[in-house]
Amino acid sequence: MNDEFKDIERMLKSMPLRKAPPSLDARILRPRRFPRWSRALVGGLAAAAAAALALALWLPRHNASDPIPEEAPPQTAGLAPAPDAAARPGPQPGHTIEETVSHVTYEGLIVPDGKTPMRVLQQRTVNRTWVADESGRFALDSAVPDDQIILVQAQIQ
Amino acid sequence: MRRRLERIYLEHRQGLFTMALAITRCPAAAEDAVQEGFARLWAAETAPRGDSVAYVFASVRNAAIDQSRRRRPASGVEQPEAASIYDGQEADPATAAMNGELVRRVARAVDSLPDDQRDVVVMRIYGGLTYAQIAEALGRPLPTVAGRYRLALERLRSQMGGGDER
Repeated sequence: MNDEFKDIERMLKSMPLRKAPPSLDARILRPRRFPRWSRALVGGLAAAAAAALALALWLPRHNASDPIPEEAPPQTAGLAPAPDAAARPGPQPGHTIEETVSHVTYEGLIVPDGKTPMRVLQQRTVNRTWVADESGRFALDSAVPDDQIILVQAQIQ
Repeated sequence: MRRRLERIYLEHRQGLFTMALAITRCPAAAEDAVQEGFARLWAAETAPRGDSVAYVFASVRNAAIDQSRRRRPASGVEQPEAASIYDGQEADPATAAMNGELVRRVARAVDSLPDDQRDVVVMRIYGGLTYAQIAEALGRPLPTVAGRYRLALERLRSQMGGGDER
C-alpha cells in the first residue's frame, strides 16, 4: 500500500509545518505545578526580585576603575558561554537572572450578560530563572507558567 | 519514568504539537494540550503498559480533544480564525508566492478529512508513528487504522489531483 501512495506521502512530508514554539520546552521539561493563585503571586514576586537582583548585580560592577563587563545574553537551550576570567569578570556561582516572557492572544468575543460584548484576551507568561554554576555558566533552573484571562469591553458600532 | 517521557517529548515534540494543533486549530490551545497531556502522564501512578510513544500521543490527543470542547464558543459568538498545521510563511518571497497556494490547497484538503482519518494521517506522516503505535494510541484495531489511512490518502489525492489536471 505504501508504494501506491508514495507521491501523496512525499507531498505531505514536504509541507512546511507550523513549528512548535520554544516556550513549550520550558512548560514540559521543567514544569512547576502550582495552583493558579500561587503562580500569580510567584510571578509578581519573581518580577520584583528580578528587578532588585539586577540592580544589586549591576551596581557593584560599575566601579569607576573597572571596565564594564560585557555579559552574554541567556540562551533558551544549553549553557551560556563562560566569560574569559582573565579578560573580564564573569558571573559568580549562584548568581541568578530572572526573565519574564509574556504574550497576549485574542480569543474571540463573548457576551456574558447578553448585552455587553467583551473581547477575551489570554495573557500567557513564563517566568524563567537562570542560575550560574561553579564554572560561571548560566543554566535554566526553573520555568513557571501563568495564564490570565483579560476581558475588554468591545466597541459597539 | 519522567526521564523517559522527557526523551519521548524531545523526540516527538513537533509531531505532538502538530497533532494537538490539528485537533484544536489554535496554537495556544495546542500548546496547552501538549502540556496537559504530559501533566496527566506525570500524575499517573503507574508506568504505561504497552508502547510508551503511543501512550504519550494518546494522552496529548485526549487533552487536545478536551481543549477543543472547552473552547467551543456559544452560538452567535464570533469565532477566532482557525489556525492551520502548516506555516504559510516562507523566507524567500518568490518561493512564498509559488508555494503559498499549494500549501493552502493542502491545508484545505487535510482540514476537510474526517477527524479519525486526519488523526491517523497526522500521526503517521508528521508523528512518524507505526500503524501499531497509532492503533494503540487510538484504541482501534490495526486493520482499521490502516484502512483509515488508505481512505485518507485516496481522498487527499483526489482533491489535490483534481486541481492539477485542470
